[in-house]
Amino acid sequence: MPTRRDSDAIIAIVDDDLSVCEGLDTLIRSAGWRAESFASAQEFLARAAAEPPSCLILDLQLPGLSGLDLQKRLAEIGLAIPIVFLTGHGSIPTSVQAMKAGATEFLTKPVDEEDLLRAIHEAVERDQRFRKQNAEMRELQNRFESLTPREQEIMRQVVSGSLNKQIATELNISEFTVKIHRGHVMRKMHAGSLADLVRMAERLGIGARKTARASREQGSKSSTKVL
Amino acid sequence: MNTSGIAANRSAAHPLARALRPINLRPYGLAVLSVAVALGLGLFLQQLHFRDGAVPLLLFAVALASCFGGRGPAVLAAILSMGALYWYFVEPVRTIGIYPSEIPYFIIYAAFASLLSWFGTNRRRAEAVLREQASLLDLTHNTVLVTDMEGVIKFWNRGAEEWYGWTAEQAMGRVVDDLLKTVHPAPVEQMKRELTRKGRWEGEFVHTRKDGVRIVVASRWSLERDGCGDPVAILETNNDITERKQAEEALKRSEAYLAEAQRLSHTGSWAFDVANNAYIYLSDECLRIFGLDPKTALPTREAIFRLIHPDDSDRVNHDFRKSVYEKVDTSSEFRIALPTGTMKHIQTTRHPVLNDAGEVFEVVGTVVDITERKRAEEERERLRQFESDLAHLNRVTMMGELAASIAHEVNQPLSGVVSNASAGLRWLAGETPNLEEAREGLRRIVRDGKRAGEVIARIRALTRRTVAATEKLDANEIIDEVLPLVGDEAKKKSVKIQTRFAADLAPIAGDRVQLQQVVLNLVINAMEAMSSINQRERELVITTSNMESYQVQVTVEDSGIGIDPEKLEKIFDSFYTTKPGGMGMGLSISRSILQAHGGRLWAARKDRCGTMFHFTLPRYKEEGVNADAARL
Repeated sequence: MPTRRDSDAIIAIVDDDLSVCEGLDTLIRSAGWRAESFASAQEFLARAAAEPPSCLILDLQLPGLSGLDLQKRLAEIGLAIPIVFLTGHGSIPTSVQAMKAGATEFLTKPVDEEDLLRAIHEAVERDQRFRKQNAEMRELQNRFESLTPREQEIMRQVVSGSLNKQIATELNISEFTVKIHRGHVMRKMHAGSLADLVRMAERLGIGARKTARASREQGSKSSTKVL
Repeated sequence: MNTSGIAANRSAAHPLARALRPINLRPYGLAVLSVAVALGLGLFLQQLHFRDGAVPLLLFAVALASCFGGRGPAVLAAILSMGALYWYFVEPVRTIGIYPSEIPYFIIYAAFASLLSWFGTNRRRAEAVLREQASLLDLTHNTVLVTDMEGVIKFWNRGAEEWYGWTAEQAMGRVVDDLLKTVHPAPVEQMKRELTRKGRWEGEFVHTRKDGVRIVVASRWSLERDGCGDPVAILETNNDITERKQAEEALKRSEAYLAEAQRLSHTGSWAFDVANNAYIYLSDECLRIFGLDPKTALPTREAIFRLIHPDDSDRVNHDFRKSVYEKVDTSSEFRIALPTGTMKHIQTTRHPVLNDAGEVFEVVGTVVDITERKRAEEERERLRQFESDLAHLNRVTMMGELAASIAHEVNQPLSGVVSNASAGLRWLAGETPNLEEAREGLRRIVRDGKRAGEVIARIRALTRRTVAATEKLDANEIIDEVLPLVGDEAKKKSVKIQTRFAADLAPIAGDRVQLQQVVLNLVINAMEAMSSINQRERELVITTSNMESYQVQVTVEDSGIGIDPEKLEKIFDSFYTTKPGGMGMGLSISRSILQAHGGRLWAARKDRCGTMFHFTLPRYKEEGVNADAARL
């Protein structure tokens, strides 16, 4: 069930049939979301970049650019919008293809109210999680970028477990200078402890060993979703 | 006939002509002269000591006189010659006295002389009669000619001159068969035998005139006999019957043609005498139709009516009476049962014939054996039924092919209905129900529900087995009604359907379902033809236009693979298909539907790629409205 918090979420509907569009539009609005209808993929693409919707209800058979084509295009331009596919007569191969490409749900018309609203709800939540993660990531990156090159170098050394003395020897500077830089790094990165800083470095992908493990974890997560 | 006429004339004209004729002295002079010459010659012979030469000479003179002068000169010549004989030749010569020895001599001479003069006179009279006859014969227009027994022409009348072209002078003395190149119908000997036996002969010849024209003559011969009854001449009267002969032949030919025509068309003719209540004529074909022998006598009315099927006979009788009593033409169809057990369908037409008083005295009519036609009609009806079944099957098959597309077309509005209804419940569920949204949703539910219903109705109409009905239709509308059924199929196949409709398209007359079937067939085919095209757009364009000559044309064109030029006609054959699993009936059925509508269906290659299917339909005619109104 939608909560007051996600009532700002925009749900986009792309279907060339007016009856379907209007029906979904009123249903989505009655559930508390905002709805926007588009008669074709092209029409949607022209609009999407400005204010990406939280969820896309997409008809599989569209004139011109088909639903699957649109999904591909969105991935290409980096718009990760959760997609709920609708189809009049879904075949297994197309639904598998759609889900592999990251579709949230695959529903057949006439769509069941509960199924649709739950799918939208999930999509919106996922989108919000996504957006939050994106926002945190962007903040971390901003912090990291505010570091001087020397500070960034010292942060890499610190999170890889080197002692101040080792760093000073490596960089051919005094141990004191290392301490001062290290203090700047901790402050600029808003890190309360060394453990904090290490977690941040991990998310930023600093430190080769740990980054590889992280990406492997993510891959297994998405394949689980498909199965 | 001619000869008897001449005979009558002879008896009437002979005494009259003789009484009126003035006395002619020339024959007497001839008698004297001939006796004188005979005497001179006799005396000359006597000088040569040939004493008896005078007698035959003098007798000859008598004969001559009688021949050319008649009875009077003959008597004169006989007396003169007897005198000369007595004076110059009978001993004692140049004496008056008569001696007993001379008497028998004179008696014999007198007998000879009178015999000769009798013969001569007779002959002369016969010739005179002939001449008189001849002058009379010249008066007739018939050709009359006289030949001797060898066929030499002795007489040639003016009619013969005019008709054959030779004058009497040219014809006389010629052998008639050589002159006229006679073609005899029978051996000449046989003709002559008959002529000799009966004295006359009648028959027909073919003669050739001087100008080379062959003519047919009816010839009558009569034999002229002399006093002893021996045949001496043949009197031949000929009538030109060429025209009559030609007319007869033409009539015979036309009768033969008529009989042939009757036989070929199974049409007989008859005539019925009302007063006697009996047939007076039944043509051979008529009798054959009724299974009767043309060689036997005319059948009675009862015999004919007995053959009529009992269920039909009252009706036939009624129609017959109507022709007689109301004096109108009638026509009836009925069945007859022949004794052989065969049943025939007959159509008869009757026409009353009125006399001067305006009463029906005859009924003439025709009978036509329409058994074959009936059978053909039944066959045609069966075939039509079969075609209709096939067309129905084709529509059902098409619907099957379109099942997914149709399901989608129904599913879309249904989807709208479900969403709107779910939303409506939600709008009403809250503490402050949103009535406006709920109302709007219900309105859409009504609209979408109707839309789904319309699609289903269209499918039902197309799959229903209907009897073809002609109504006023708009071709644009027909196409518009069909397109929703293929909309999803087109989308799935990525086919863009465009319509270019003439805004002022004239109405057409036809059966809605059948014409929709044709459009559907062409559209499905067009989409099929483009399924393998990837390098260019799959475009299907439907154009409607008004044509000259009161036709409306619809064109369905695709951008598909196209059809080989030599196969452009073949595709309309039954069971010809290029689709795997296709029945090959679609285009064949479409064409027969259009032909039944008075239209045409043909295919043509597009210049670049693809195929165009054109069909034409006649415009709706306003008379049709009245007819329909009258029927309704």
